Amino acid sequence: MTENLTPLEVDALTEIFNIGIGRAANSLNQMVSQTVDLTIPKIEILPNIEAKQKLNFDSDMEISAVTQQFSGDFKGQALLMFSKENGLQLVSLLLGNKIPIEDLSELEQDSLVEIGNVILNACFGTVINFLQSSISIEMPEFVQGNINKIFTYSSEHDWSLYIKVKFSLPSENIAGHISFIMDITSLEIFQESVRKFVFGITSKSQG
Amino acid sequence: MTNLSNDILYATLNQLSVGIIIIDEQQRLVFFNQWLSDYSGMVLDEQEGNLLDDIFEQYQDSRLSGACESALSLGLPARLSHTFNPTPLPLYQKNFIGDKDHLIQQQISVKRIATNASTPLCQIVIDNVTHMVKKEQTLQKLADENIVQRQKAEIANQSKSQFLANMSHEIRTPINGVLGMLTLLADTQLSKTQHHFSTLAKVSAETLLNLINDILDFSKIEAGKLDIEKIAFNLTDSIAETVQAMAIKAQQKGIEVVVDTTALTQPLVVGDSSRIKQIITNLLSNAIKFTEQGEINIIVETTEQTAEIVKLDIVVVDTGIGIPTKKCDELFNAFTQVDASTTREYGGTGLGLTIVRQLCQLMGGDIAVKSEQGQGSQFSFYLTLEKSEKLNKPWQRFTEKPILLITTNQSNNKFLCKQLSLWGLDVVGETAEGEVLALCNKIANNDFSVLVLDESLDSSLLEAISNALFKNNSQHDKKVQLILLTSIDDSQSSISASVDLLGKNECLHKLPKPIISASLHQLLTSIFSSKSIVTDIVNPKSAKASQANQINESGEVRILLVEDNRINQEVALGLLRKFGYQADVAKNGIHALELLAQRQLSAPYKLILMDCQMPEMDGYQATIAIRTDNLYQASSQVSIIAMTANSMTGDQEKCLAAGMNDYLAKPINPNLLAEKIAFWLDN
Amino acid sequence: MSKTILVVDDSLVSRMMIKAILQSHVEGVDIIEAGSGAEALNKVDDNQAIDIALVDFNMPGMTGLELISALSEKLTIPKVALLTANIQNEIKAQALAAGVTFLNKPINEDVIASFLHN
Repeated sequence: MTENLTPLEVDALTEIFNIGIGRAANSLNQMVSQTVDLTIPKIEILPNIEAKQKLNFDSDMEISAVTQQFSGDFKGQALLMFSKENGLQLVSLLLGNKIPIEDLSELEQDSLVEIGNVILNACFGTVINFLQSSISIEMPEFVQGNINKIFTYSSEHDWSLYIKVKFSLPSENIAGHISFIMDITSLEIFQESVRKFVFGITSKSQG
Repeated sequence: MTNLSNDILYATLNQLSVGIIIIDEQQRLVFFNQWLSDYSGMVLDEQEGNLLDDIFEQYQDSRLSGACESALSLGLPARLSHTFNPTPLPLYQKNFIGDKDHLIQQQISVKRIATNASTPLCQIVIDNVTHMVKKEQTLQKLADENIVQRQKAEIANQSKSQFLANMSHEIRTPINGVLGMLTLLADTQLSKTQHHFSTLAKVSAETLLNLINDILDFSKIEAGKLDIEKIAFNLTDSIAETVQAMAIKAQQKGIEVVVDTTALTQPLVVGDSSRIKQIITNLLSNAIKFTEQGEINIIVETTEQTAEIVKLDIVVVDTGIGIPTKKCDELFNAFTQVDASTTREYGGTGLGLTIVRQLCQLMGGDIAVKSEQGQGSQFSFYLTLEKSEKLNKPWQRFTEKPILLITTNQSNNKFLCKQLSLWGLDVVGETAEGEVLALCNKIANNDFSVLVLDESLDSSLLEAISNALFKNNSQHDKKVQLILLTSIDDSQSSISASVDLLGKNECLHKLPKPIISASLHQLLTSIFSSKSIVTDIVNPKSAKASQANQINESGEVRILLVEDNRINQEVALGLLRKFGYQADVAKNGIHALELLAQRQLSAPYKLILMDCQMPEMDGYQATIAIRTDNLYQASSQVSIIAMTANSMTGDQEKCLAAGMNDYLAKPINPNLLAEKIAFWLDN
Repeated sequence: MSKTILVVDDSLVSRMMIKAILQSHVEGVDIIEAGSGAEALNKVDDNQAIDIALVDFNMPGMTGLELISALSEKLTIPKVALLTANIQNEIKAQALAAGVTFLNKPINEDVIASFLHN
């Protein structure tokens, strides 16, 4: 579904998010005692239904997520999602704790929100910088539940900019998922801004 | 919104229970509220317009500062939890301003205020989470302690199991020695006094064994370690066996025992037959103990049935000394007896009924007692059992002429009438002596298919009836049979001449009381089919034993006994000798394997009696070696019977899993031993 | 005097952005670009005169660090920099030991300027 963009435009989007995720990793490393590396294989733009399938969560599986709403040039919802166990594990490893029992305590939820905020902010940041977008972003929130609960505020007709993230820690790797959910209108505006950006680069490098 | 004047808004901000800082694009202070003032010791008027870097130490180049920068330039909101940096700002508990040991833990939100696009401001909101953190730490500690406690409990639980298993084994081993030796002693040449003493010793040992079993059961139940088996079995047979085993004692006291299982139309059930037998044995033993004359009735009824489940009610009623009504409630409490004098006179631990109730409850039921002093007792218990999938074969009905039934006991009479009519037979019963004559005429007239009389009937009555029958039979080809209901121990009774005559003419059958439906049906079937005249129905167990006694005479049979305890070796050898067998002895698994290897090509063993607990190599290991190791290939299929003092659930499975063929619990029951040896040698 | 700069990055857009900055900032620059370590080694002859190498750290196949090490066997490049958005401490230590500088992505004029004139 990334076919609405040319390969060059996909390349640009990938580079933008690579830089964003890289910056996020940098920030995280300064916050915590463990070394964390964040890597993303690729960017995909899909209908929400397909994105949900990519997540590969069973319908009754518990998901821990950090979400931030955004509006302006394009509007939607940003999500960073983990399976509940992965979320617990990530927090526990980064905090250097013994494993929390079964659920994230309220204060541990805050830690996950902070981590999610760093990552999503970094993505927003590079998007704003590179694409010159004007968007306003809301505070991050914690949400936990099954996949339907997480996706409550988006409709079946929305689209996702989906990125699978690998958190590489010394002891193990943890998988996370980022989704920027937008309706079709916002998505087209977003893609248009990517085209404009690439056009700008192309003309500059030819000049 | 226009109703709220600046003064009101200002006042509200200053009354908030969170801190608010507002900065401009250069991160200079625009405003902070009263809360922040209180917790920082700063005064707004003094700090307004200063760079935050200058106001708060450690702010410069901090994460908070970076977050404010991103908020102001890109509009990115930030959440800073307390975990990665608990004290980004120098805020202290009230009364401890400036004291680094009393910094408060902070949770911070940063957001741009973009009311005016050209002059963005940034708000920093601070929450004091010190208490929350403390609470969570306490909760965490409690949770950890909980886990530790649970682990300790688990270990204690396992120790308990281990203890019970060990105790069980340790106690049974010497008791096996005592009982075994006494059994062997009884078979030697003893004087009358010696025999008497050895009998008393044996009774004491058996009592001791019962006590220990009670205590072990009780401990197991208390520890939650008693498992109820789920195996298909015939309930009627189980009840019959139990009652038969105990009836002799009752009959010796002159007490009549009646077992009515007519309501059990579907006797095949799934459950724990040995535990059910244990309950009945306990109740019956009490009934016999506390009854001097009269009768004991065991009646089974099924009260509820679904396709899968049957609820059984079993009642044990006696005409004994009874229990004071107000003591009935305490009866099932552990360690209580009715009163001290009862204990002195009748003995007992007081555990029996407690265990009985616990067993009932474990089997989906309960038990209750109704009694009055001097008026006998009625114990009724119910169980919930699954029906077996196997089909119940219904009794074959009879179409013969009526049966003449004369007994001396009302309950027995009632039961027999009920059972016989369920089988399709009419019953004629007279007890009044005046009718004897009319009766004899009918008998002589071939009016009856079979006569059933109790041997304790008046002798003249018996004589008259026997004579009439004899006369009848001499006139007809088909001889009408007489079934005489006797007590189990028939040796003392004298048979009247006429009855004896019938016996000589093969028209007499003796059926020992208590009458078991199955035995009666079997007898009637063979009588009516007149294929083979069945002689006395003897106790099936003793039949097997005598059969066993005969086998040993043919050929040399090699048996290997593997047992480490010297006394138990002798017990086992002695019992084997009693049944005419000889055996080689190995003192542990290793020794056993050596002997096995030596003999396997020349004169291999046909049967191994394997003790389970032995030093160096135990029974399980030895068995596994025999079955799997190539060294013993020639003997790998030898029959192995386990002998074990372990009585925990799962031991039987453990033996079978190791490859043993059968299983005997210590103390060894001689008859059972003989049975099993006979069976496995035959194989 | 024209400078020859080797730019290696698996992202075309990234190479375009870097080229744009280089061309606007450096006079008479000659740029050799490659999309992977293998391609770079192919394009570069032994003892070719390359003044500056800007190598993306995170590439599939041969990493930036591995490429720099392979290049150093073929020729000597006076100024070498690894481009990355995230600098991990161990990698940083490795690189510094090999005499390699790190530049943060995205590259902008100031960063390039300070690197070139250092």
